Amino acid sequence: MMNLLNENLTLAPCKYEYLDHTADVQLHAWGNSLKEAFEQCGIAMFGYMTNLSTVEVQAVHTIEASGHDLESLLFHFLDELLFLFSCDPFLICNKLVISEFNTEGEEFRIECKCYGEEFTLGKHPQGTEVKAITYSAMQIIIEPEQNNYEVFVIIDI
Amino acid sequence: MFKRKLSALQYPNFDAVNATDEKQFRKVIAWLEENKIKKYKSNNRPISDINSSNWKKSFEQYKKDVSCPVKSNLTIEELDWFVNFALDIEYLKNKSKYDQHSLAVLKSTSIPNVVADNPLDCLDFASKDFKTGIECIAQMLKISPHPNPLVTLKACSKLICSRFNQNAIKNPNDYIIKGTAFPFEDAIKGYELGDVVLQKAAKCLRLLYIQNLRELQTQCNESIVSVQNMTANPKTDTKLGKVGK
Amino acid sequence: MVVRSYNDELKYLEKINNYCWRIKIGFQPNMKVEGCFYVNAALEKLMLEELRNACRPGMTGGFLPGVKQIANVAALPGIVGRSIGLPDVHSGYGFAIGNMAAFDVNDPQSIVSPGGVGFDINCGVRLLRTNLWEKDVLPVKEQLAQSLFDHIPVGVGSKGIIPMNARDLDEALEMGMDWSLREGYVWAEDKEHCEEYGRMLNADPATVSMRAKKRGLPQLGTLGAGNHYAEIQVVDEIYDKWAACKMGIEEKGQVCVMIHSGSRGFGHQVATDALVQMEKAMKRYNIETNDRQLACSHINSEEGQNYLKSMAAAANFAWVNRSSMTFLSRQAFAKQFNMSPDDLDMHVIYDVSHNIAKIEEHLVDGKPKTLLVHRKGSTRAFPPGHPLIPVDYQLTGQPVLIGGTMGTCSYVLTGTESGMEQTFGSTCHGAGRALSRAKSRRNLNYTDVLRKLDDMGISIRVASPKLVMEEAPESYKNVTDVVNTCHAAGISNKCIKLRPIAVIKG
Repeated sequence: MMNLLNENLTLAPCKYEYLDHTADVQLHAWGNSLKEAFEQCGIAMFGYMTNLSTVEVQAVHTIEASGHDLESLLFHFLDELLFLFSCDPFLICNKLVISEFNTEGEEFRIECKCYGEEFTLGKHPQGTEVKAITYSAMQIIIEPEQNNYEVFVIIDI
Repeated sequence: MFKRKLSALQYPNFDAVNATDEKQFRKVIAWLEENKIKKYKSNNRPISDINSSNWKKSFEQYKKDVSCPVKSNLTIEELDWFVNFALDIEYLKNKSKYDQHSLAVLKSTSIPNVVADNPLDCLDFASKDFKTGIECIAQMLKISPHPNPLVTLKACSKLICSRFNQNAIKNPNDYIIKGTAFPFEDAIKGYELGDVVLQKAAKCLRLLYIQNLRELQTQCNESIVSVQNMTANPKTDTKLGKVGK
Repeated sequence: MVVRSYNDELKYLEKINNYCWRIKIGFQPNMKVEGCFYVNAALEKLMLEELRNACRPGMTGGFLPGVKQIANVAALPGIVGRSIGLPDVHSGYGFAIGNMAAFDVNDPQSIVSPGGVGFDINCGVRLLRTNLWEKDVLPVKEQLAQSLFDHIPVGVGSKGIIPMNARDLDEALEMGMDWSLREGYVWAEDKEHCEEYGRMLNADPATVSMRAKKRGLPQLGTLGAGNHYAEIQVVDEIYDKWAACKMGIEEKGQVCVMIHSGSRGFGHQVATDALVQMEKAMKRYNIETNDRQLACSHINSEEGQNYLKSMAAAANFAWVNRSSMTFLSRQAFAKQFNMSPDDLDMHVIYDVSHNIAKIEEHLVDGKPKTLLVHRKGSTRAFPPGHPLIPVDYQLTGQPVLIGGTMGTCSYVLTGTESGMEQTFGSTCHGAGRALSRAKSRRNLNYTDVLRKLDDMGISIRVASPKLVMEEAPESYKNVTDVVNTCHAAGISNKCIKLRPIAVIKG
């Protein structure tokens, strides 16, 4: 992982929370741009699976996701991240950097660099397993005037 | 379906019969009565008048007279019943002739007649001696006798083979069925037949059926096990995943 | 959605008897049939409370209340009979959890919905018996719990320890438990005592995405997290002596092992993929539903058939998974007691699925019909004499395994003729959540929960500490209420009560 040496590995500040829900959990993330809110939402999901302070950045993987609208883009973005964790490379991330964020035209697209390491029992405490991302009560709030961007996603656990 | 039957009855033009056509239906019925069934005297056959407007009425009366149980009106089932009825009459008329060709007769003539030197083969199953003898054995084995001594004999044989074979005598505990008897009369629900004896019989049949199924399932399991003997190789590799703490 | 006050909503609900409520047509738009739900006095309060909360102005939660969801399901095309809520019903994704609904396969409008099965396809419960007694196990309880924990991979990020490659996985998806049998992980008698004999014949691995297979491969033979568990239990009460006897349960104090698990990431991905496909299909076929979460497609459409085939593959995955854990549990016991699993009489009593859709024959208004029966958080409960239940249970009715929650009792019920008529042969599946996870974490204290379990004599091994609060008994509806309601309503009979003495969880 030579290329990691040249990268900025400072972790982003925490801009997410977990909201109450009967059988599942709702992720609420925000930021100064929609891109940041998406990144924060991804981190929020990883934060539910383990304690992120135990994660060291040792690897970087790039994922791509696309959708026909903002909701489906967010859905597929999170689904890709969940997939990254669920099988090889079993990556648990504490830093996400979206390098391409295209929300115009026919197909919306995200390219994201995911920083973290392989999930290792013993090193990383086991949190809750995320079964799936859902569209239920998904909200994307865009208020450029207030510089306020928020997303709400329910994940099935 | 009944074309073969009609052909056996030598019905003219049997190949062209269309039972759903009412006219043809009437024609076949009339022909069967005139030539085969002959319920009525030849001068008094109202159903022979197949063009009469009263035909249906006559047919109803005819059905009653020959006690045809089929309820529906002018259907294939009805016709089939009459064809079968005619075949029955035909068969009984020439029973001895047809019986010559029956499977039982054919078999016995093709097997050479061997004179048995085994005295058991010469037993007269119908004799009183045989009957009392079997009842005696049954009593010793605590089997309640069946009116047919051969059935009783079968039950005795079953018990002797399963419980008095060499292994069973050596290790009786492996063969004696343990546990509490299943209270099938109380525990099997859903047989409200109104008649106590019938109900008991139905429950017994059910148990026998389940026993049959059990035997089949055991055979299935045995075949699975014999395949497993060739294919099974279970293994675990704890290096693949971490367990415990 | 119609907005009405709570009192106006109540006009659409009618209590038929002490255990059953009717949901009248009109409660939600386009209802094709009525809905109903089974509750006793305690559960009724929870159910109506949920509705009352949703009627408060400004409520915009993620899920509709369970009773609304039951009514929305009653509005789906092709539904027959009633949309039925079982006593453990609580709101879920699309269908409520604890909802069953049947659709006429011969009606071209009828639909299949992944939301009617759930994300954890063929999540289910398996019960093994042993010939051990509580007194044999108590002195070594801690060691035994540890041994089980050492044998069964649990929790987030755990991987299976049974070696598998992609080809093995494809075969397992197609063959279900027959794969486990061929490889020698389970016994021939195990298959006999498993719903569907542990294999859905219409499974087609070719309809499953690479993504699902990749997620599934490392997780085969893992227990999972959340409400999944492996428990050592003791027979606490026998209600039906003869039925229990048929299951090999003789007396109180006999030791059993219960495994509650599903199809892991494989099933989750199959469900996610299908939901994405069905969203598109709904537009194409112009299918209207009351709730976007009720994504569905016609049974005979390409999407519908593909889902049923891939769902069947996920069901097979789950059976292989529970079979693998059966193997590991038997190993753990064998090592601890230095006896073979055979000598410990560790037979499978039964294996049920409570998240599945199946084609079944039922009588509707006295006529036989072929139906696609969705059971989400609901267990099949067929009566005595039904041809689809194992020969050993022909006289007792199908065993129904109801898993409790950490520290609470579990039950074995049996299917009834009345259940066949009332609920298409379906009953409850477990306790059903009452408190949200976050609320549980706030209200309950980690050490308190552990001390309470210890007081009850329950050893626990858990991978994730916060799960201890989330899964504490206080977070769930009382399973005894749930089971008693099913018994009183006649949709299944109580047979055995089991009490846990050791729990292994994710």
